Order: sequence, then structure tokens, then C-alpha cells
Amino acid sequence: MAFRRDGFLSRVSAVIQSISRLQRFVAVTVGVCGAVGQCAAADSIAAYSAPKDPPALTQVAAQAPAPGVQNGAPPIGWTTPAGWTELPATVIRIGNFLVPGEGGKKAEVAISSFPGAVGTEFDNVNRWRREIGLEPIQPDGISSKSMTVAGLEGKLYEFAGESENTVVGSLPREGRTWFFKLRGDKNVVDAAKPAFLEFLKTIHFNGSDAPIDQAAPVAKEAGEPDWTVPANWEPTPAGSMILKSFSVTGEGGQKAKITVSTFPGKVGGVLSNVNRWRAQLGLGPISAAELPGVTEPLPAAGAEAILVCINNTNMPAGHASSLIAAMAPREASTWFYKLSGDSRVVAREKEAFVKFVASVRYHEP
Amino acid sequence: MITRFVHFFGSLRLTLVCLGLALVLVFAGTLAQVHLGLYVVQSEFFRSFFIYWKPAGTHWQIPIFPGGWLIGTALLMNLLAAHIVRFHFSRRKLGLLIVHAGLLLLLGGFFISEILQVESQMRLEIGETKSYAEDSRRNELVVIDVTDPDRDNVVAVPESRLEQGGEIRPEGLPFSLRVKRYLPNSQPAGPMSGAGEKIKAANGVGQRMLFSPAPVVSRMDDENKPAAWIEIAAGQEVIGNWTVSTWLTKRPWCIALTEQFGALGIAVNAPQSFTWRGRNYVIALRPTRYYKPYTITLLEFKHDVYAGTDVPSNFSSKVHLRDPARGEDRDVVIRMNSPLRYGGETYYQASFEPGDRVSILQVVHNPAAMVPYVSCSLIIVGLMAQFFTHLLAFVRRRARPPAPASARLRPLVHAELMNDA
Repeated sequence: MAFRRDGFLSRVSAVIQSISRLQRFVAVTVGVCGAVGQCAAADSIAAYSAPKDPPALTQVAAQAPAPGVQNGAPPIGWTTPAGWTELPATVIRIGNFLVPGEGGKKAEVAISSFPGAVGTEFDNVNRWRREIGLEPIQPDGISSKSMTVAGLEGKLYEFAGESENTVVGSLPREGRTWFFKLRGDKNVVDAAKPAFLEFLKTIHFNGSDAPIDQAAPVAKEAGEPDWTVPANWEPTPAGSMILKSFSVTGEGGQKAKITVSTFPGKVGGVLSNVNRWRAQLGLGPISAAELPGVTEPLPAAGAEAILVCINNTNMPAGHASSLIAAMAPREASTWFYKLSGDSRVVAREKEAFVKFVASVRYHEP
Repeated sequence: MITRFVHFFGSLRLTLVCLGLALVLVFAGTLAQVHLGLYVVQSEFFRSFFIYWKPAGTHWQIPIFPGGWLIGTALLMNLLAAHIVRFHFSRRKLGLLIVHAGLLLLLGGFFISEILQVESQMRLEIGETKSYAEDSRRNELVVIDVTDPDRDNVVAVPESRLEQGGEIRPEGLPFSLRVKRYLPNSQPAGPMSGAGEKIKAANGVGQRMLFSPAPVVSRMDDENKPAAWIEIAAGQEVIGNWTVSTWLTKRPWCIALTEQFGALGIAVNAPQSFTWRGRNYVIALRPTRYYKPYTITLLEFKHDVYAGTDVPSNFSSKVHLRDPARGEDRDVVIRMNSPLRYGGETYYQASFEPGDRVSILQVVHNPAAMVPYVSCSLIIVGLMAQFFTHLLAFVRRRARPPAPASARLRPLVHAELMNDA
């Protein structure tokens, strides 16, 4: 009996010692984990001194010529009116001027150039209106005068805000759109307007600026694909975000355009792009649940490719009222094909458009 | 009660259950990668204590399966408890002790690696010198005082801090940063591109280059491009507000944008700068940088292919390592299976860009990098010790001279005699 009691006590003692060792171990482990955790909590704000980055792409890009500048010489020239101060060009402004007024008030004149049409007239007008605090207007409320710059026909718009006015000229030339904008204090703009109009007459272009479009192609991630273009589609100058552009004319002279573009990644996915297209036709967004009702798979263009048709017959004259778009996700990019314009032309060209999209053969990177 | 607790953790049954759960976890995690991607699976399945089910439309998180950390911790405790309960030191068990010490070290080292390992990439063009590597997943908002002609003073705010929004007052800056909007993933948008929310800044490239929210992605072949709208203010005085995004700073996105946005593109990756009280600053959201006290210059990149094919046979980068503090000034060739180990970091040949002018090195900083080697060595030594202990005992038994036949018979005779007695 005594032997059994000794055994029991010794086992209890051993267990207690074991627990004691276990506690020591747990304490040490927790301590080590805590210390390691503290070290790992390096996700905090840091301040340090670092060597300057060597000249790399960022600096090279910053030193790159302003848009429209080729071989060091701007493709456009002018005569600066007296009293205006010519400021250094920026990456956006090829021409940049300060127009001083009385009492320290001022206005600015900017010359800029962008590939393509840079949106519709409706978009641009409302952008200019928003800049000076005016409410957007409907397409039928837009008014403009014609202007002539360097022998080319353009449009001149005027907007009067509460404290600021804008006078802006828009001039399409060789696939680009040039903007000449006088904007600033009401009184200064009104006083400077005659000089601005005279200034526009002094504008001249130095040679062709068409190569700029070619210098800004869409990503060549997979190279330009091969495709079969329908015979009645005419190539048109592509914009900065457009790889290829075509136009097609209906029997009554109505137009529709076809564009091809590509962007890296998923570009927001199907829903956001469908809603983007709907917004372009003045329609509200739809939910993810409604998506299957408006899209259809387009297996000929890829496993995940979809086709979407959007119509809005209430669009004002001169605006696209119908749109058919195909979206073809690839490994690292997404390709977009869009047919938009007059609904009769779009309906007529739908079959050819689908065939065109199905004919695309991408080159492997 | 405590005894039962210790015995429970020391039981072989727990070992088997943990190993079984680990098998299921690895299988389920592998399948889940198809939809969730590697990084989400790593964080939700393996770097967590539980896998949670989140019912749609609620904020509930219901644990449905043990995660990698819980199984690993249970196995660690199991091994320790087994030792505490059962272990009695003897020379014959020395090998087993060493094997188990190796296993413990392996688990502990894995834990340390999990927490402290940092992986980054160094992208080098031929002739380019760099003293930093960039994280391929983490980003930071930096405000850099570039006034000093020799060095920059950098204040780096991790992207995780931007998620919280609000005002940030970093030490070392004479102004505060207000996060007006943060988009974990974004897409560039023009002023005329449809409706929906867009970030538009009053200063910098964000005046014309707008960003709209995009769904967060988790696939391996895609990545989030965050954007933030940051206002900088000194007290009541607002200095300005800028849009920052990795779209503007990280390859290949900034290059793609430069190409795609044509005239606007030229400004895409130009620094966004401003001046405040006579000092010049640059603001950007860029991949998190890890600076080194030494520089690496890419001298040459080789991309060999098997003769007559386009199949790559070897990639190698000849780099020049320069560390004045330690007197290092030498050329090193980094090959696919021959990394450069220097300053606690390992440089592997990871990738390259088309044209063979850009080499991408994977930089791994792991304070516990040697632990697996040490622990595996311990396990080998332990197994050998255990094997040879038994072998020696066996050989000794075999080498013992056989007892004489009379000696072997004597007890039997004695027993027989006793039986008869």
C-alpha cells in the first residue's frame, strides 16, 4: 500500500514539474512571439534620407517635349499681342499666356492639342461651362460661331459665368483637335477678346503634325492583331486611346464608327463597362443581376468575350443612338470593339461587326 | 484537470488529427486558388487561425475550419507536450531528442519567416544602378523633400494607413495629409468618359487624368492599382490636393498610360511637385521601397536558348556590387540556381523584359533563412545517431562471445533436479 502511495505521489510530482516546464515554455514562446510581432509591426510611417533616383524614365518623360513638339520645334506659331506675358509651355499647354487686367485681375490664354475628336461637342461645351461654374446644357442649347484659323474652319464658343468668362476656339486638323482658350476674370476676358481674335489670325502651323498620332499608339502588348475589315468600312484617324478606327456610311448619309482599343488588366469588368456605354447613350446604370439580360457571349472572340447592344432612340440628332460593343478579355489586357452611331446603320452593320470581331487573330507577345 | 489537458496535447491522436486536418486544408486551399488566387488563399487559409464563412449581406464571420496557424500551433504544442509528459532522458534516446529538436526548430523558423520575411524585386536596365528593391504587392504614399541637391528626405506612409482615411500627421513633415478618397483598385477615366464617381484633383496630373473605382481583384495575373486623393494642409491653410496612384508610378501601367493617353500621357509619370515655404516636395503613391546600404549595377544580361529553338536554357545577370562601407567592389554573375547572397539578402534571377535589356531580380530578406538548413541537419544527425546507437548495441550483442555449453545447460539441469526433488 505504501509502495502504491509513493508511486502516486511521484507521478503527481512529475506532472506538476511537467506543467511547470510547460508554463515556462508557454511564457518563453509568448515572449518570443511578442518580440517577433513587434519587429514585424513595421507597417508604420517611416521617415528616412535616401539617395536621389538616378535619371530614369520619370525624368526623361518630364523632359520630353510638350505635346505637338517635334524635333524640338513646335508645329504651331503665333504673334503674341502686346501686353500679354508668354509663360513657359507645360505638358498640356503648347502655348501659355497671362493676360493682365486692372486691379490685379487676370485671364489666361492656353493653346492645347489632343489626338482625335476629344469627346463630343456636347461633352466639351459642358466641360468648359463647368469650369466657370455654369450648369450643363442640352445639346440643342449649344451655340457657336464659325472661325478661321490658318485657313481652316473651326468653331468659336463663348460662355459667361458669374465671375469668369471663357472664349474658346476648337479647330480639327489632321486627326487632332486644337483648342485656343481665353479664360479668366469677366472684365479682363471681355477687354482681351478683340486681341484674342486677332491673335487667332496670327496662328500658323509648321508642317504636318500627323506623326504625333502615330507616336501615341495603344499598347502593343500583343502587337496589332490580324483581322478582316469589311470592304465598306473606311479607315479614319485613330485617337490617343484608339488603336484603329473606321467609319461606315448609311444609305441616307447617316454615319456610324467602329473603334478598336485595348487596355491592360480587366478594366473594371463587364458591368462597369456596360454602364459606361449606357452612360454614353444617356441611359442609367444597370445592376449585376440585369447584366445577363443585356449581354450575350461571343465565343468566336474568346471564352470570356461578350457582346452588348444598347439603344436609345431619344438621343438628340447628331448623337449616337445605338451602340454595339464587344469586350474580349485576354491574359493581361482587355480588347474593346465598338460600333456606334445612327441606329439604322448600326443595325445594318451588326452582322459585319460580329464577323469582324470573330476574325481577329491576336499575336502572342 | 491540468493533467488531462497536458495529456490531451501530448496525445498521438492529436498528432494524427492535426496532420489529417492539414491534408484537407492543403487540398481545399489548392482548389480555392482557382477562384481566389494565391495571395487571398495564403492569407485566408494558411496565414490565419480559422477559415471564415461570411454569409452574403451580413458582416458575420463564422469560423468553419481551422486555419494553417491553428493547426501549426497545435502541432507545435503537441510535440512539446509529448516531450514534457513522456520524455525521460537516456543515452539510447539521444538521437530522437535531436530529431525532435530539429522539428521544433523547423516549426519555429517557419513561424519567424512568416512574420519577418520580406520579398521584393529589383528591376534593372543594362547600365542602371539601384540601391533599393520594390515590393510587388505593397505600396506607400511618399512625400519627398527634394530640395537638397544630394539626397532626398522621404516620408513614407503605408497604403494600409490610407485605407483608414482621415488626417495623417507624419513626423518630419511641416504639414498634414488628408485622405479625401481612397480607392483600393482604380481605373483611369477621362473627363468625358461616362458617368460614375471619378477622383479629380485641383493640382498635378489628376486635374486631367481622373480615376474611378474598380472592383478589387485577387487573381495572380491581375493586380490592384490603388488611387488616392490627398489634400495637403498646414493648419487651416490648404496647400493643394493631388491624385496619386500606382497607375502613375508602377510599370507597366504608367508606360501603358503614357502610350494610351497620348498628349496627356507625357505627364503621366512625371513627378507631381509643389513648393512650400521655400522647400520643394514631390508626392506619389509607389511600390514600397527597401533601401540598401550598397548599390547594384546591371552590367550584362544573357538570355540563352537551346540551339535552333526559342526555348530558354539559361538566364543570367552580370552585376557590379559596390559597398564602400564594407570594401566590396566586385562583379557577380547571378544565374537561375546561383543567387547572390549579400547583406542578409538573397538575389535570385527572377525574370526579364522582352528585348533582353532589363533583368528582374527577386530579393529575399529572411532572418530565419538558415533555420531550415540547421533543422534539417539536426534531423539527419538525430536519425543517424538513433540508427547508430541501435546498430552499435546490436553489434555489441552479436560480438559478445557465446557462453559455454555447460554453462547454458547448468540451470536446466538444476531445474530438472529441483523438479525431481
